[in-house]
Amino acid sequence: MRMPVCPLLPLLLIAALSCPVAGDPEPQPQMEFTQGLQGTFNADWDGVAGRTYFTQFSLDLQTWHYAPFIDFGDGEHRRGCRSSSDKFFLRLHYGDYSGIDSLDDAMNADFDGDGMSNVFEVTYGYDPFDQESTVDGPDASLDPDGDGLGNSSEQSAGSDPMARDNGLLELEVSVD
Amino acid sequence: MLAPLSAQEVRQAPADTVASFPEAPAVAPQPPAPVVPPDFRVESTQVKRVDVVEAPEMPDLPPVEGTITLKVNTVADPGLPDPPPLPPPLPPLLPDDPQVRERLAALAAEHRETTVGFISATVYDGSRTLLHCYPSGGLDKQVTAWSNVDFNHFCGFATFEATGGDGDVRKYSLLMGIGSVNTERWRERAAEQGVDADVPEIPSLPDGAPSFVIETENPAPECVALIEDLHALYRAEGARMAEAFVAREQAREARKAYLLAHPPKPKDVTVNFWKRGNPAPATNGKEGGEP
Repeated sequence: MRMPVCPLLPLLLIAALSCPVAGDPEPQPQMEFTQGLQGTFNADWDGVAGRTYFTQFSLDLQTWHYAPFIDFGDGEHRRGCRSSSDKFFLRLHYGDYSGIDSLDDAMNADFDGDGMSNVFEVTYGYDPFDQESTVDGPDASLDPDGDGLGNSSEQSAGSDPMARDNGLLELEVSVD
Repeated sequence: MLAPLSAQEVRQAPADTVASFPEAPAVAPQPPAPVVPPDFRVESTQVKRVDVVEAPEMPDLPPVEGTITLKVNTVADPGLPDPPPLPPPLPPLLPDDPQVRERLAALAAEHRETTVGFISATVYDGSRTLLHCYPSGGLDKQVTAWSNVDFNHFCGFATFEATGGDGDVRKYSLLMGIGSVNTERWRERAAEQGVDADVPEIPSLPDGAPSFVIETENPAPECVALIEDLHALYRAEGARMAEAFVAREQAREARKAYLLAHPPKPKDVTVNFWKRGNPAPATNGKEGGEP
């Protein structure tokens, strides 16, 4: 027996209109920033499945720095912090990025496409969403420890871009 | 400019009104105990040089600026317990409960309403003050008055109470905006710019006892009471208030001179981050605390 289609159509339309549009981000519960013990503060938030979280902090609400870690996914995220400054602010920078399905994915991805992974950038104080975090030039070519290896090379070599004594030698070869 | 006294009546607070500041608590509050930070075990460190500009400690000083070292550490979880949870909310009070009604009646009998005195005070040449008063913020009850009191002396005093001759006690909380005008400088500036100085006409007021004239016609009685009680307070405490004001100004000038001679530099900052472990699991109450 064939079901008549027309009587159902209005119901289908209503259902379609009331469903969330595909791709609408799930609301993000607000971070709870509360006082802990011994001068510390706790930053807690409920994660959303598939979501990547960067934590940013500021001393003046104008310049924001990335904290040296990345969080991912659902569940309870519990961070602690303590600052020696009088003023200290935290906020979350989060997003649902395609192809990012785990914390490892989020850490190893390169959101700004400058050749350095997200986790490398936040670990060493760069902006993972900006190829030029500082006025000194592209993040990838900066050489903060002055050992002749740019950040991108340091990452490839697995060395510390902030320390010269990392067991790597820069060889200069001249050919006559 | 002192205008001749016209129809305005120079008034003083009633002689039988007594005003005073609330008594200081018998036991001074204890300063908070110094905070001892946890003993952090640093796992990694990131160091940045950051240019900062901070607001100065007081107006008329340059901003506090410089380059600081910002050290961001990832540290091991110091294992601090979570703060104790907030106490549960108090049970609701039912309005029909006889005990609640009895308590409410007792509170109402003892309650004395506090009038919030919203006051804009402009002190002209350190000797006459133009007042705009709004008792409890009522814009419709605004009263404008001139006083021979320098209301700068009210800086730093937030509450007082006055008792009328009939024994009625009035409690006040003050929200004041106080500014000062030098009319001579005002006129000079206006002349430099080729405009007329719109200096208000200041009514003639006697020196000496705290006095005022009310310019608003048919002022609300609570406004008059507020102004009278302010002047009763100054009559009783004015000498001490003026002394405290002078002392504060001297301290402020001394601090300003020190800061100019020793410009502060922004301090280096260390930030520690860690991932907190899960809170200790609740026990099931069995002996030995087994999970």
